[in-house]
Amino acid sequence: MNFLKIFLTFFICIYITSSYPNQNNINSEKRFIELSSELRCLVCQNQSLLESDSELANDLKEIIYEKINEGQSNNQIKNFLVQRYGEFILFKPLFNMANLLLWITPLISFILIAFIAIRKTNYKEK
Amino acid sequence: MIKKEIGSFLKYIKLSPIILFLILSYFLFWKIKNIQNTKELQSVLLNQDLPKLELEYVDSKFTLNSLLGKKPFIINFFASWCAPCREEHTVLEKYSKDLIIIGIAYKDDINNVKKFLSELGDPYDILMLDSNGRAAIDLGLYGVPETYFIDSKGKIKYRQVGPLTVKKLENILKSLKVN
Repeated sequence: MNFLKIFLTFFICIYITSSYPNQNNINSEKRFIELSSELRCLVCQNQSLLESDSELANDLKEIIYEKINEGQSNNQIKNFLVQRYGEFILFKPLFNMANLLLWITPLISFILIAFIAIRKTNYKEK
Repeated sequence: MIKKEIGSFLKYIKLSPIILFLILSYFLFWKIKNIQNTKELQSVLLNQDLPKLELEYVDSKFTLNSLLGKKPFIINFFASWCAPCREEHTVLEKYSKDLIIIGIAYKDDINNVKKFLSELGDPYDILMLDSNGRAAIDLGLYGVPETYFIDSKGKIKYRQVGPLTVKKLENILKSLKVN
C-alpha cells in the first residue's frame, strides 16, 4: 500500500512538473518575440517578421527559433541574417563607420544647441 | 586678444546649425538622386563566393562543383506554382544553348516540376530541388523567380529579382562582360 502511495505521489509530481511550461521555453519564446520584432519583413510594407505572415517571414522565423534552441546569441542570429539579407533586415541600424553620422548627428546637434543656449543666457544675464 | 578669438569662434558656432542643415540636405538630396539604383535589389553577397548550398540533385549533366570556379553560369530559382516563372521560362529556353543554367525548384514537388518542364521545355543543365527553402535563404532570396549570375571564379556577380526578360538578360550579360 505504501509502495502504491509513493508511486502515485511520484507519478503526480512528474505529471505536474512536466505539464508546467519550462522556464527555458518561456525564455526562448521571449527572445524569439523580441528578436523577430526587431527584424524587418523584407517582402512587406514596414512590417516586422513577427507581424508578417509571408512565406519568407515564416521561414526566417523558423530559422530564428531553431537557432535560439541551438543556444545561439541574439547577435549571432542577427549576423547570420545580415550576412544574407544585409543591414536592411535590421530596424535598428548597426553602430559602425558607415552609420556613424546617423548615430552621432542628434548628439552633436544637441550639444551645439545646448552650448549656444547657455552662451545666450549668460550673455543676457551680463 | 583671447576674448576676440573666442568671440569669432562663437560666431562660427552660431552658424553650425545652418551648416549641419546644409550637410543633411545635401545628404538627403544625394540619396533621392540615387534612388533609381535602390530599385534594383542588390545582394550583400555580390562579389563574394557562392556559398555552399544544400540541395537535392534531380537531373544533371554535370555537378555544381565541376562548374564552380571554372565556368560562368546562372542559377535560376523557380517553381511550378509561380506564374511569373512561366513568363520567364521562354527567355531561359531561348538562351539555354548559349548559357549554362542551373535550375533550382523552390519549395516544390518533384512531380509538378517535371510536369512543368515537360510542358514548357527544360533549359536547365542541372536541375536541383530546394524543398525546404533553406538554400534560398543562404543566397538571400526574396521570392521566385530570382536569378544569380556566377562568374568563372565562382563569385556572385549579379542578382536579378523577378522575371528576366530578353532585354534585361541582354543588358545584364553586356554589363557583366564589360566588368
